[in-house]
Amino acid sequence: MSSSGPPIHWIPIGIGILAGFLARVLALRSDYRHYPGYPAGYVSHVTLGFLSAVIGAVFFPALAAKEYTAATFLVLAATNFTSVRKIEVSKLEAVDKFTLVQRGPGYIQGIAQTFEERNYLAMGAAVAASVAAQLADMWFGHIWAFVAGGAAGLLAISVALVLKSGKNIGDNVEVQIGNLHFEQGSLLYVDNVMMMEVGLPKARERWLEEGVGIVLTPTTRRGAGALWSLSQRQAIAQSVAALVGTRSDFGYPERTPLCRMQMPQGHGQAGLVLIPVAHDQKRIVLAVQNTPMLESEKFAALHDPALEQWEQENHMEKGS
Amino acid sequence: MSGMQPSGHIYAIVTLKSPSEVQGGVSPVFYVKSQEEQERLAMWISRIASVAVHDMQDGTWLLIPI
Repeated sequence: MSSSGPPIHWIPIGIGILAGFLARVLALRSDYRHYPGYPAGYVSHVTLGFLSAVIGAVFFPALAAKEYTAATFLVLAATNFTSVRKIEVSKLEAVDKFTLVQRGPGYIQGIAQTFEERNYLAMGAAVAASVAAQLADMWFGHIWAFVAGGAAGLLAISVALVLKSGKNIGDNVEVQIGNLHFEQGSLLYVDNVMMMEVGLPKARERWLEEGVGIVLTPTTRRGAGALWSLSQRQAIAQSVAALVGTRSDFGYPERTPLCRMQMPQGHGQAGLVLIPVAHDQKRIVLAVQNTPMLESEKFAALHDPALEQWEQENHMEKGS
Repeated sequence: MSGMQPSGHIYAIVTLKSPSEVQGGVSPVFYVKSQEEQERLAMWISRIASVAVHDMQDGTWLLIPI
């Protein structure tokens, strides 16, 4: 190409871009979380994914061509993606201020971090594919560059797709429909978890007629720790409300979906109540189970009474 | 998260008790004569101002923003 240095190889760059871009596009799914929105969110994330793929794909060929300045662009990219996360956070926080059931800061951080992470995974896939293609090109020739680049790209994409998805609540917590009832006249309970005080008799009738209560029992230590996190419980309430709807509005504060721990003993179970739009118990349980575990929430290796009891019962069932 | 912090104040009090028993400090007190009137008034204020009604189970209801 130019007289200043060795020629730049376009095959590894092309394969790298393709692999990185695919890794990003395949990870981009708008599901019940309603995020990213169509189409503006898609455009920006696909574009960013392409840019990260380009940066990743150029990295190794640039090094091989002794273009060291070009390689430093990788650092620039990292800074850029961090700022992308900050933009996501401020956007979601702004939206969260004017919604009936908020995502909460923990969930927002999790979403933003995931978007940042997926750009890095795209960049990583691009680097892996272009390195393999470049080396194969230098040692065996053009055709092997396609084979090696393609194989490395596919491997990197599958690793990226495995890494992209975290654990869900359903992996760590048992979700069951509970019995919604009032005690002492006006205290709303799901099984033995006290949820709130409902003062208006008509509101109590509404809860008994249309409300759904759910009991969450931790099945792992991680689940036990997660339930104690306020952000995690808010994320659960938000997910359910987003999926099955909530018959609530401004002026009806007693209908806000709530997820609370069993108190005052605090034996580790949590309750969730809401008045759903779609009265489908199976779907409500699924909505809770599919809520992502928040990584921003630190969890201690707890061993609380509810978890111990669950383990005991489960063990007994296995034995009998 | 408004529901996660102490709400700071009582929006209104609707009570069946007499003024000698319940007095407002910073919030208005509505003295009512019957349970029906209490329900109607509390619900209206609740819907208008988006405040939650809490029954203190002694004839006094507190209306608290969440």
